[in-house]
Amino acid sequence: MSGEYYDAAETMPRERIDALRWRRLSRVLRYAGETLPFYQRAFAAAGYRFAPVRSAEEFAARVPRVRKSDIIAAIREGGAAAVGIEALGAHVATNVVMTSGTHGFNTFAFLTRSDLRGGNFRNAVRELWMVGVRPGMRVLTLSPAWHVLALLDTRAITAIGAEAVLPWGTLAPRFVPNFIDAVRSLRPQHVLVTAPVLRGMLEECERLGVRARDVFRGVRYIACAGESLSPAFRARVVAETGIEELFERGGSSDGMFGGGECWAHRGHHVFEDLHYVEVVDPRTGELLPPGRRGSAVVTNLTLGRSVYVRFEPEDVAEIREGDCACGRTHPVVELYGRLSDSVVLPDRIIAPFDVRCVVDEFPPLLGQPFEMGPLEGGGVRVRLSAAAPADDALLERLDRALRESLAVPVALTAGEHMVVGWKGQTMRGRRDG
Amino acid sequence: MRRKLPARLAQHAARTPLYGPHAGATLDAIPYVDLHDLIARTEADADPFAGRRDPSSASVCVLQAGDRLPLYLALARGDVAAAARALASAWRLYGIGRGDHVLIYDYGTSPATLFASWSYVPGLRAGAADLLGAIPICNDGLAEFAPRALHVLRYLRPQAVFVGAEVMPVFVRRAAEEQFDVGAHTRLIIVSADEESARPEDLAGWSTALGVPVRSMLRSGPALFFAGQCEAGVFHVDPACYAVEGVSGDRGGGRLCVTNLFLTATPVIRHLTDIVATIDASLCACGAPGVAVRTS
Repeated sequence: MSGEYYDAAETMPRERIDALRWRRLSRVLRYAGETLPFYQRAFAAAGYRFAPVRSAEEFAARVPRVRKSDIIAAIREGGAAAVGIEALGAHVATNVVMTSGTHGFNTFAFLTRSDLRGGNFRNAVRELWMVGVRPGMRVLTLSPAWHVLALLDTRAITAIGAEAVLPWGTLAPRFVPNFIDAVRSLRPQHVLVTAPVLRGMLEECERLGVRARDVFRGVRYIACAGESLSPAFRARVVAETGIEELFERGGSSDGMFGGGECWAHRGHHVFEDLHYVEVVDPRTGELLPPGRRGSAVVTNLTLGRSVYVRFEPEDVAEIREGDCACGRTHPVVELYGRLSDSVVLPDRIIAPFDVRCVVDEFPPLLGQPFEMGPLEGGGVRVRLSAAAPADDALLERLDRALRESLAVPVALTAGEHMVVGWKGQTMRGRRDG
Repeated sequence: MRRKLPARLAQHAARTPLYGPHAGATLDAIPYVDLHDLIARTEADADPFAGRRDPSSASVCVLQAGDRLPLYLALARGDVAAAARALASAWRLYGIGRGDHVLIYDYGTSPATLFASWSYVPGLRAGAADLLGAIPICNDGLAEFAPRALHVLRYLRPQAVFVGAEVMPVFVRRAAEEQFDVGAHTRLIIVSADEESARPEDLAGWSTALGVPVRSMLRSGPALFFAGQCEAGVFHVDPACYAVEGVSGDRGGGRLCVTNLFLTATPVIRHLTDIVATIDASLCACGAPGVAVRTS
């Protein structure tokens, strides 16, 4: 626990990572096939019988994918939160957490002390270290304790030896004043929040007539979860708050994996001694190489928890090509948003992140809500919120910029009334699109 | 009666701006302090701890004392552990034990949630649930999450459900809208609000509406105070954790005053809550230990 890395595993040679990954993957597959009823049924239905894993292609070709809808169906059918993915072994569950319920149905995950001190914990502690949390640092965070990442952050902050500042409430806009008060009163060096709350904090500074730079005085880093951050938003945060660096955190309560950004900001480091992430074509299931966008598929490589094997959290992802300048040897995965919010074209996927990047380039529209969906005949339909201060000239420029950037036909409309979720997230696409 | 402060508490209190001037005084000689006094002090001194912070005590976390309150408590590692024991003491009154699932429909930063699990607050090795062998699940505290609370009830069937008082009406209404039989999915609902006690008629009404016993839990964020309610409707205060007084007269108005016996980094002495209560010197019929406090 010193220097740039939390532990030596972060920089282990690629060949060692490969060997470790396949060994752990085989162990998880064997355990799932022999012990976990959900996977026994899924494997049997797909005609899969356990054999040690030797390559990514073999794994992808033989082991069936599991979708959220499969887990939901199992909960409904059994009438119970536990569905037979709970690889607790001899351990006793200490916590139950929920997924975010993007299908309108929250699934459940069971955690043990073993996992919260072991596999998942190691992932969290490396991530917090990566985004700059250090011993003795005062870190503003919050524990919406239904979410696994909140529990893991708590354990990681404890292990690193930082002091946590916990404002009252949850990660929803109405509690932004509490976040502001905590930052002003207690002067943390680090802030762990979600993008909507951070956006809300900047807006609250404007409303109060105070400079964000004064409010955030003393804050060195902000690590932000919840959505992919556009370059314009990143630049605004750094410029307005005066922090040294803004990091993005990403992952999924579905599948229980995640990773932070290092200072190279190329995407999320996913540690392959703990999680194995594939990217597949969402239509065919074909395994995609680095550099291609597709749907993320995750397999957890440690037990002592609800374990997800070839689970598709329905996030648009891409494994970045090449080595990371930070020296970590594990894959870097960029996450672009929910698959259901994206437009899947024959040759590529356009995610809300792509639209957000263009919209945010226009200062009056930065962070403003929009919806997107497929355009009949090909292309993308974008609807700007009524709250967005856009006149005809601005809309015309945005329309042109979207066409140039996305290189597809775009139908842009404005003045739409949109429902903003409890988290204040506003960049969801329409599911009916 | 002149009561001495426990030596450890007195040492920490003596190092704080608020209590330091009263170093060596008996408990009875230390003035009451209520939330208004504390808020005034945070503003006057630009001190988020309102003069209650012992600077010599290292803290693992700092909690905001309540929604929109510019008041904070710094907690040392031992304080966090003791707070969990105090919460566990309250939970015992509800019969929560080994293997029980417990749903908490309250904010993750509510003290009623934070000290429930070793994974909810930094620096904790065993939360109330861990101490009792129970398994917690938190739903967070927004009114929008009432359907999710029912979802947890439907599929996890927790033995006990803690509900923040502000969302209880929404929870009851949602259960009615869904025609959800709460009584078939849990054996007890416990309602808690910061420095308030639910009215017996409200508890009775909710119990009738939901078809399940509904009890209350006393708590105070600024004092990190918890007291469970027995079946007889009496609150039991753990004397190992708190010294309580009923305060009459113009200043007290029958309010409950709490001295927290375990906090060291932010000592709390004679905190005058907004809970109107009387202390009952007689033993409670339920036989549970602790100082009996009645709120009606």
